[in-house]
Amino acid sequence: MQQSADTWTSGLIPFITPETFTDIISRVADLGMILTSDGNVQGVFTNPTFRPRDAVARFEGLKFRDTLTEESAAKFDIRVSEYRKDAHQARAVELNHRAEGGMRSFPVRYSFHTIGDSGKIMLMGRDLRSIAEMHQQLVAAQLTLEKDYEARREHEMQFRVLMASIEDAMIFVSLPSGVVKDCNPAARVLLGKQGGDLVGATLDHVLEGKGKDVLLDRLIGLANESATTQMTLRAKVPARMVSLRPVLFRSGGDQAMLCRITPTTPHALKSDGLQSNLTGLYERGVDAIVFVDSGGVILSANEAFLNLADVTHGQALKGRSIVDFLGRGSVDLNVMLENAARSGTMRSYTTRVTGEFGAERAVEVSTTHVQTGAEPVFALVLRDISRTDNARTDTQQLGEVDIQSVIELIGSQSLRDIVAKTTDVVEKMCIETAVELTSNNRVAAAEMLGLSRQSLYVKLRKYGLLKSGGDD
Amino acid sequence: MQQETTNCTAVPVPCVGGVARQVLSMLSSELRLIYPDMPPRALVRYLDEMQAALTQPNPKNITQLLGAMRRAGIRDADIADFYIPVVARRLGEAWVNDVMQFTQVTVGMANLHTMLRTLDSSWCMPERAPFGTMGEICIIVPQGVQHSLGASILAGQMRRAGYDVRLGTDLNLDEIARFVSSPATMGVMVSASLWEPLDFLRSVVKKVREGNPWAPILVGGNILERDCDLCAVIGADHATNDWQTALSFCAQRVGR
Repeated sequence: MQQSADTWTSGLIPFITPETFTDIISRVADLGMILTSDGNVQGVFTNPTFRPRDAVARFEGLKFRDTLTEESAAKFDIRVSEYRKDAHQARAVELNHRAEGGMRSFPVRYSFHTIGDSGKIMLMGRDLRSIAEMHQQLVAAQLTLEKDYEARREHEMQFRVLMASIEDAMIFVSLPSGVVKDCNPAARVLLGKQGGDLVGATLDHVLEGKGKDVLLDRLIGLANESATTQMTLRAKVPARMVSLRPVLFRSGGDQAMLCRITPTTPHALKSDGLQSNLTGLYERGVDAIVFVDSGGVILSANEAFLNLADVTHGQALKGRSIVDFLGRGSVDLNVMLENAARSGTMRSYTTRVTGEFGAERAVEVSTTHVQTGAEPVFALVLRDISRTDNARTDTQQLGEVDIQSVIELIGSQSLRDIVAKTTDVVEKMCIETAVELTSNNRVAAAEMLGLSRQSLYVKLRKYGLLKSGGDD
Repeated sequence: MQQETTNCTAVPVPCVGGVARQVLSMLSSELRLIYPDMPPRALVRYLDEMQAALTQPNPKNITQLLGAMRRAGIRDADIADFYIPVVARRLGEAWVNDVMQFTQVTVGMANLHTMLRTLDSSWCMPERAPFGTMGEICIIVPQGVQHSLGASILAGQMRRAGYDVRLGTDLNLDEIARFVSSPATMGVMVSASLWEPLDFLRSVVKKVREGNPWAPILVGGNILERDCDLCAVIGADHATNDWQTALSFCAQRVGR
């Protein structure tokens, strides 16, 4: 007898009769197959305890891969090919037998063994159904948990909405680690962590103090004293004084702390009266100020706008769009908001405001993109330029000079030629004006003129406006 | 493991590997854009560490790894969006290649679920408005479909974007029609894996149509790796794995 160095650890392998060997393998494995060199099942053996014995006996004569599910058949092809190339490197393979004839699909882990030189392979399999059943139970438990999470989601959403609506900064701190577990958007803004990395940071990373432990001790001490006491500390970024009011609580066996943080600096801001000055400017300023959302719906408008638009009462503007009052309607709005959204501001956009009773006034509009909350807001300052517009009329008649020169052509050219030239003059004037109004934004200018971008480009080239109209 | 037979050709094993590699490469490039200051190797190394931690029984490893990733500046939403799906794919691929046993994959998947729920709510909740007011979406994980991880992540992504997402897991065919019947539903998304029989998915789509004839039906998941015209076979309106594409498809259909 020889000793197999790889598998037989000690002593010599005894002589085993074929009958005994057959008995051993049928008891060691749950099931096994003998495959011919072309992959047909030549024989099937099963452990006496293996239950669907008759079902697997039917595999005899079939191609082994045909008894497998599709993904398992592909796996088997690769593994068997690996095994035939290098038997020592071959791995055991987990395969699913397909459901057939009332038998459910079942998983088996097979190992490969060569039998003699005929190319026949013996597959010894371990039934994995008990593991698969455990897997099913795990999946079922997981799904139950998922359903629970879904049920709790409503409360979580309410909590998020509440947190987002609180103007004071709120942070939940885990104790004793001092790690920020949760916070509201106001906390991110106040502590300069807009990128979202406030959660997971320790308190000493965002607040100055004599180390994390000292800081936490002071806060815990303060929380134990009274709910109304607060502590002033310096935030690291941006460097500003903030006031903390801690509240201790326990949840799920862990201690935690809620800190309400308020800036101490706004008092200083208030002292210079900026807020009240701005309010005064809004209420009594001569220029119309309107705040609109990204769709142009008026959020608020001052008295000057009411006068400009001949609106008697502010309530009449509720829910209305600024488009109703702009000379070129949505074209004006799109040009202003798109430019302001892109670059933050848009200055000196000239248009006309149409009042409630049809009166039109020339205005110059400055638009500013103001991101105060989640939704973008645009502030429009409209200056009535109808007086200056009239004053400009004399100097702005260059186009009319052109028209005058066209009229002088009567008699020297045919009417058809004169009309063509007049059209060109008017077209050129309109294009120049649109390009100027939109600060050389060709997309906006094309929209304003009702042209495609390509048509505008052709006309700009025709009138030699490409240089003044932007890049070529 | 698969319970029923399939009627369409399964993707050959090498293709599965190819897809996983593609995802990994995409992950690496996308994460590099998000975290330009972090070495690409470090970003990808966390994948290996996650896979190792998830397939071990000690949950402390997961907590420690999560802490390390957070300290490195990786946001929880990115862990949900990028890392968890890639590790899930890797686990599946490891089983296909017999590098990992079924039990290890099972433990790994269960731990991935746990990890997802350990993340802060930033991966599945908007921090600011809109809070679910962008529209109502239904995601269906039909009964018998083993993995709901992808559907949970998808729901989280869309909720974060301000959509009200109703996630129906383990729904049997009779429950589906009722689940999607709200007229406010702007789209129904069906999550399916490669193992789902197409006949079964066709009946799921049919039930959705019965319950809501107006809403577009989209199908997603690794079933898209099947080499067939999936929409035509199962009767869905669109097949995609990109949630933003899915939402714009729904928005277009609603806008018509």
